[in-house]
Amino acid sequence: MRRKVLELFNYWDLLVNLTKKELKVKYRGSVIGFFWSLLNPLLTMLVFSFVFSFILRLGIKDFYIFFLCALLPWNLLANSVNISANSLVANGGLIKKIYFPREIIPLSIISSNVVSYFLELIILFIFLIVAKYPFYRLLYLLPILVIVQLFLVIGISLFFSSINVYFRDTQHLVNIFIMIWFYATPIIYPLSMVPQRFLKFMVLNPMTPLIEFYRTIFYYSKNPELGFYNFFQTPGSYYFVISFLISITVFFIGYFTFKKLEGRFAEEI
Amino acid sequence: MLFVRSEGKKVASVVNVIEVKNISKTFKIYHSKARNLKDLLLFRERSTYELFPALKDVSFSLGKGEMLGIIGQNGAGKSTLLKILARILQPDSGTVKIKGKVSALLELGAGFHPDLTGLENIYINGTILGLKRKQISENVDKIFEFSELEKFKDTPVKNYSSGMYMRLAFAVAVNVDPDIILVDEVLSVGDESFQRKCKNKFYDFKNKGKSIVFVSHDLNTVENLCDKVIYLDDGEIKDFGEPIDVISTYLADINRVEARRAEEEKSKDDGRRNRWGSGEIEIKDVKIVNSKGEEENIFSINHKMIVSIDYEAKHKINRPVFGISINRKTDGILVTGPNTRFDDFVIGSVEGKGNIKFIIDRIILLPGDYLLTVAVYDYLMINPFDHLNEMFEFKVIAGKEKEKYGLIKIPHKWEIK
Repeated sequence: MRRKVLELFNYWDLLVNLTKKELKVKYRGSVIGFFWSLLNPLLTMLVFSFVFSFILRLGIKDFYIFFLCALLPWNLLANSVNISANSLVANGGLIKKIYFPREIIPLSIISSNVVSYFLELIILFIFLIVAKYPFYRLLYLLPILVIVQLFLVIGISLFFSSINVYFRDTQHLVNIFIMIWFYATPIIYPLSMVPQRFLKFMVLNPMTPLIEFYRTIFYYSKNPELGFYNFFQTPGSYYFVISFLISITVFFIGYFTFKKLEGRFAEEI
Repeated sequence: MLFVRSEGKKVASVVNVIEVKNISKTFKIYHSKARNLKDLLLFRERSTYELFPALKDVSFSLGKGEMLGIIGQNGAGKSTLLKILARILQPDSGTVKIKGKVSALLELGAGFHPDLTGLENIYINGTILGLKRKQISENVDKIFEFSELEKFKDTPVKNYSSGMYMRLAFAVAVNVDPDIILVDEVLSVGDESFQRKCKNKFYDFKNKGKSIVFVSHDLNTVENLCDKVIYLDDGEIKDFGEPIDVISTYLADINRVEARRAEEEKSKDDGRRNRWGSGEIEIKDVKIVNSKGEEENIFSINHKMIVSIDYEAKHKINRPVFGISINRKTDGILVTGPNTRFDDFVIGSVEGKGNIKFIIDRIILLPGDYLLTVAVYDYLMINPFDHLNEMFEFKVIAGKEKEKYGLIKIPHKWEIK
């Protein structure tokens, strides 16, 4: 395995180039180009904010910030997993003709989404600054959250992309799975609204503590005591450790599934 | 470099860059569409498939600076072997050891993205082939110079002509500076000048001491370039060694197969083509035989060919004229049409059964398919007794002969002062 990881390092430049390609190709030929990737979450935010502020009044202060700071990390996961699920099949021409570490393909999709994510965060920061949220106080925690989330995202992406080579239905199932997961994660609603009897299941969802921590950093930055600690009545770090362990486990399951299946990719595509 | 352990010391023995031991590969050929979730949930294997053994227990090694040719008929496992060397496929069993950086030219331009410019694609394709960004930057000018595409640097490759596309792809692939190059029939694409450029590049590589594995149907190129040749047949190494020996083994096999095919065609064609004449002399049988007296349909240039004609005259006939003619099958051009009268080969009279032979000591026709007509006429050559028009077929193959323009190999020599 050490050799495999070292080899991956040798192909670092390929990962960088494929990531650039992903970003370039996605928006080449469209008039406002890269701004589409920013516009999409902003419009989603507008629609949901309208619905939940004026129709289904949840009574959440600054719903657009409440929602946006959970939507962006969610999109990182959802887009990465959805697109990479079909990525190996879509790049079949390459896999059949040239050798390179196969995991580069889903990884390049994920890294292009990470780039988009960081740019979207800048938009979020602008909103936070305008609305006078002191998010910079806990901002040092952000890299830790992103790293834990990436373990999870990479694990799931490697898993589904390799399975999809053998069973093409996987990509469609993944779409549904992600949609259900969206509603099972406190993104459009606060964790405090979840009935007590569901709470213990919700913490098994590794995205729940992650989203709550993102909110603690951004949304609850005005009064952090409202954040993660209060909702669980126990130290949030405990749930974070569970989330971390689940993410690592998912990462290794995904990695070993991928390694097990990659030998016959060129034949099965 | 291969090291052989002896008493704890590492001793350099043979400088082998590729070492393949007992590799086998079997493909499943599915008859139905891809397995979907329904089959999976019902624990069903994909309904029907056949096992296709593409490689069976293949072993060989290649030294540094050597060029290896792989020949064989379609489906013999050549491309599978190359893909295993390129690490695209994994063998079911056996080991492959490779020392050095491999560049596989299995398909030019794999990984080109149509929407990106030539320059952007060079970077992507280069890194796919395992180069560092820095190495590519150093080589960009060289690549554009080799491909003669400087002007189209910033044009998306979807606007390239297919020739431009190939040139760019080849330029990237050969400027990767690999230790081992795997080539699969790329030379067969592109125009004459592009092919020449490719071949020159391979000579260059060879002179620089790089190892090359070359799959091709172009036996001349294989013979000229390669140091060793593998002849694959049905997934097995049938012959391995000096190019000239292996190629002749291969050609001999091809001839045998062709002969069988020609035989089948002949039996199908019989009676379809024209035959006319009074029947006073009947041609009972015509055999084309080789120098050993065996029936044969395929001849190498300069080999002996005999047309043996059995006839039967119903009654005594004076001064008959036997003749043959040879037409090229593709365009019907009459190559030659000798007869006994023109040759002053006088036949007084014939009666009953007999045999006459037309002997060509050295057939000087260039490679191709030919039709043979056999006929017997009266002395005036107006009234046919029996005329079997283009009812027989034979083939001339090149053997080791390289001449290929025109109809015949005219006996000749060159002088220079």
